[in-house]
Amino acid sequence: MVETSSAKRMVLKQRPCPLIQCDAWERALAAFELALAREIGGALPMQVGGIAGRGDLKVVRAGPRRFWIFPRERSSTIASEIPPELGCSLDLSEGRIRIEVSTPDLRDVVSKCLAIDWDRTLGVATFSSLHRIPVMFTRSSERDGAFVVPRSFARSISEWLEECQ
Amino acid sequence: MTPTEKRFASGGYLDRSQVLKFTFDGRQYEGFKGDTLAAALLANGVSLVGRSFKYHRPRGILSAGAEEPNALVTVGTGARREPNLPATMLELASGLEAASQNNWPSLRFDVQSVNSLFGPLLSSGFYYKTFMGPSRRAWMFYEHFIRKAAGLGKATTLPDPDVYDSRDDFTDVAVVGSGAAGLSAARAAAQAGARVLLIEQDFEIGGRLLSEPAGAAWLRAMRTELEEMANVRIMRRTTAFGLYDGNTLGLIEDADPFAGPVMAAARKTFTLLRAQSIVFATGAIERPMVFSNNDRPGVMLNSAIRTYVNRYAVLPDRNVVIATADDSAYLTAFDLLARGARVTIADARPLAEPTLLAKAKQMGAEVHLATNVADVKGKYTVTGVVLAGKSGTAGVSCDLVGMSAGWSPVLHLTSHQGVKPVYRPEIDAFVPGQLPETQFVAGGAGGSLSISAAVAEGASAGRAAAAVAGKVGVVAEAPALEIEETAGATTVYKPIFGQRKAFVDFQMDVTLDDIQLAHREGYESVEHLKRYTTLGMGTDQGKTSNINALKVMAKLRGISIPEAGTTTFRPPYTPVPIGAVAGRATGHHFRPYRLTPIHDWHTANRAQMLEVGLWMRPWFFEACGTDVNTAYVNEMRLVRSTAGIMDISTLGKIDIQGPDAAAFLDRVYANGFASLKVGRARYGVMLRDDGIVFDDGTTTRLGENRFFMTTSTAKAADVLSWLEFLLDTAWQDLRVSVSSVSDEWAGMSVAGPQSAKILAAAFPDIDFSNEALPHMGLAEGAFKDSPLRIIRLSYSGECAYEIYVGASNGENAWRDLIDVGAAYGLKPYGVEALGALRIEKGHVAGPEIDGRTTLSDLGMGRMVAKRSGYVGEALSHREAFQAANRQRLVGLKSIEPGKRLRGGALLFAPGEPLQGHGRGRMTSITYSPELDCYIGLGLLAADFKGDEVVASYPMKNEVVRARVVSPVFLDPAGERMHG
Repeated sequence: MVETSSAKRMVLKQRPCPLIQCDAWERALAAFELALAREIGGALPMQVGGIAGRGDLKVVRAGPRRFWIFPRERSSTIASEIPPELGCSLDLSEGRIRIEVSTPDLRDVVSKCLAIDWDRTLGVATFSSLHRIPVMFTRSSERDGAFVVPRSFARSISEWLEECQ
Repeated sequence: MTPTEKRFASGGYLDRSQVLKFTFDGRQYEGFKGDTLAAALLANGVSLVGRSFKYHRPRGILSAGAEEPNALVTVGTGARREPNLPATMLELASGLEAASQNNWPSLRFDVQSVNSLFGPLLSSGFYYKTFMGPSRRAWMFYEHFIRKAAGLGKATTLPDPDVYDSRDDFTDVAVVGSGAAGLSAARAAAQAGARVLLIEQDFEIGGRLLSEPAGAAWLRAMRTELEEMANVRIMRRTTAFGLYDGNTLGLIEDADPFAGPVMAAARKTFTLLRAQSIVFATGAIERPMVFSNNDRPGVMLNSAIRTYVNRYAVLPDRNVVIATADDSAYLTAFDLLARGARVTIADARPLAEPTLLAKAKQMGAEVHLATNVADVKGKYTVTGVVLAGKSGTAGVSCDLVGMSAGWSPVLHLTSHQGVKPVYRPEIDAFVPGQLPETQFVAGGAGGSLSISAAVAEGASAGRAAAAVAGKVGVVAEAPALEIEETAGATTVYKPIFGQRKAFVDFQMDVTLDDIQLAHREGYESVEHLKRYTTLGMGTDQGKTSNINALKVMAKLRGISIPEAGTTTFRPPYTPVPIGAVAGRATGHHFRPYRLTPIHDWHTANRAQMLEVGLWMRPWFFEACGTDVNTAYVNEMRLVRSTAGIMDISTLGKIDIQGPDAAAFLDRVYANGFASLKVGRARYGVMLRDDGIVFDDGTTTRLGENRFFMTTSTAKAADVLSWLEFLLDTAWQDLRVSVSSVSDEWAGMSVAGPQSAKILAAAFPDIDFSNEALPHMGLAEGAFKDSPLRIIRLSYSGECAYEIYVGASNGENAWRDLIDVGAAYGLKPYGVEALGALRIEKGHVAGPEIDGRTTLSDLGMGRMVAKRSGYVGEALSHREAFQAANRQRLVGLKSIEPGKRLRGGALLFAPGEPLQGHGRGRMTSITYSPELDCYIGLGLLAADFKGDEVVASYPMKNEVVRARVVSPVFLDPAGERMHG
């Protein structure tokens, strides 16, 4: 974990980001959702950007037929039993970094990063571009948020965030 | 009047407890918090503030808002010098340093004011007519001097030290303008339950109400109510400068000069605001009249005089002539009379509202109906006017002239998306046309000059705008606003011809005569008129001039005003600094950068880094030489003789999965992939739809339904988008998933005769024999807790392996290989050597796959000889691609010792004149230590018969003879890489 604290009021933490991506084939979506829901032991989010939680897992609907599963620890067993005729899974745990941001100015910081409606971001995952880089943003409160970013851009984005205050 | 007599002891929206010191042209003055620079200058008796653009005529303050064409000043010094700022919009702050523009040696004595004497010569088109000869290039000579003579302020050339921000914002209802209509709209929308953003370009909210003493209590109450509403945000000092698709407004916000040190906050902030609905309450701008010398300092818009009197508590002067074609000017006259001024009213109309006339006379004003100002006397200040009425002309002494020729609704924003303004003759003004269902207009912007009507319209628009966002809560009626109102324009003001130096566009020095000349010369369309005379092309964008100009043109052409039409309104409404649009994306943050998992090792081990796209890659390592030319040759020797290791993490990497993955790749690649065996890799080439080569790379079959594709670094994102596009549109039936895994894997290539031994030592669990892992074979395993893939591939022509390991262990794997390989002479090499090695081997890359070449051009036609059904196949058979002179890939070898070839050089046959595009071009070059000469790849016409070309590089005036050879310079049988 890399932690930086800007001279102002922002604390940034970089953490590894265990992530399993699951894709459904178009004509097998319903069966795929059933199989995946059974495997993670809970209902899947219905809307793109929706988040469902079950124990140590968080499931985000990243697209109409795509789910991102965030386990607390990296695992090779999650979603490994999806039948190939329904869809597939892919471990993306090495390629993403989670940048956690804590600041009372989070709304202002986010407005300088993403074209998203702040009032509609609580409890949902927003897929957008930050300085032209694809990221996923979530926030749990007025001051705590997290960006899931491609590993190769993590340092560049951290610097950008630090200077957004 | 002395300066102290100009400022009232009380009244206005000023904080007299905060005395602010500022300078203008080096002289110190004082003003109050709440002043603009213009107000403070007037309060200090400064009426001469600038020189005009072309004639260098003395100019004063015309208006009190963003429409100001005359009082443009430069603020700040050194790196913070900013020119062309209207003094009427500059919030006074302590320490502000302002200077007049476009004069030398001083504002009062400006040498170039001699231009005014040549006014008749300097008419529209003068420069283009006069400076045509003696040669075609003469204009290039004259232009420098002409531009130096004409102009506005000078921008600094020093780097800007300030910070700018760029941000995004969202709201349900955006209300642009905080006058009576805007405040009412914001309140109604907020009460209905919508999130409201109120945008005001001024530092005070209130708009025209700030000039209405009777509206002060209403304004105060409304402001308090809005400020207390949780769902209302107010942006002061913010101009909505453009309207774009999807109800997106471009906003530019100035920093609050009283909020703290300028450096602490962004100097300006650019905001892209997305609103579900918009209320345009942008008000109206008063139009000037057109008469001789109407540009003299001391000639102002009547509404501006009223603003200076009531908002800023400044009496610009005491002896006033009010010229008008509009009832609203009487309110200015009344306020002046109440402050003890002597007022003469010259009303151009034969009749005026009797109650206004009676009140004016009762308060002591002299009123002349059917009377116009014919001329203004004075140079640096007004000393009098000549009035022309029914009984002839008469001189009247005065020191201030107000003028009003009606009002122009501010419809710039509503017009930015192509909504044509509509002329309403009863108010002699253009108003917005039919707006989309999510946009509304209220108040002066829609032509309603009555403040009580604006309040009602605002409330209605606010409710409707909230409803668009689904908010329909109960809206209480707005408090009543008791205010003296006038009827506005009751007749159409028409400029009178035959007046000299009667300015229509003050900023661009365009006069009535100029428009008449344009008409005589055939520039009749308003768009042509604009471009010929430069009317409306100043920083004020003709806010005060455009309507008068088109009225003049309409009259000259004998057509109606709507027939003459308006010019096109385009963003920005007011100037926007480029720095604000860029925000923080400058310097280090101009664009994001990408680092490989091994980046820190490279920088710690004296790699010279190079930006390749967004990636930072090792260019060369100083261990092999301190300059690139030495280092890359040594690194090439290293790879050819022992082994080198290269960071290839930047390659595009795509995971392809699904039951139809093989069929998908079979269509995507021009060469077949369905037959590729599990555990084997294949080189593949993709075409675009049009048959041109798109990208190349290798794809490895990991399992029956799973592939690992690599692309070039440059095309990684394009290839992924292309694959997704095909699956989403053309082949929705295919069960295939594609995902970028470029960040997932660290990649490194070990190449050279010792590579197999090094890998065997580094990964003892894997068999690296030719039988177990042949060329284009795959081995999988684990490295620490990360997956490991090793593919035997060669880009350099040597026996080589691409090692992919989970990104989190990339640097560990690299270090291990370096440590183990040291005993075999392994060292890292950079992209310069990589590029050179591939040229020796004849591999094509970006310079050859340049969006113009086909498979046949690149010598790969045979790869697809018997195939069909792949992307790009149909159009690859086009006749043009089979032309005999089509340029094809060749190798080129310098045959002049000591002379180098150059990428981009043009190829000619020996003896041919070195003109035109030649017979081909050099695409890639390198020095080859193996051949001890410069070699290169090139594209040369297929019907070129000789075996020798002349490579001409005009940029350096170099000519080199080269032999045409096979593009594979090294090991054509591939013995090295097959080991």
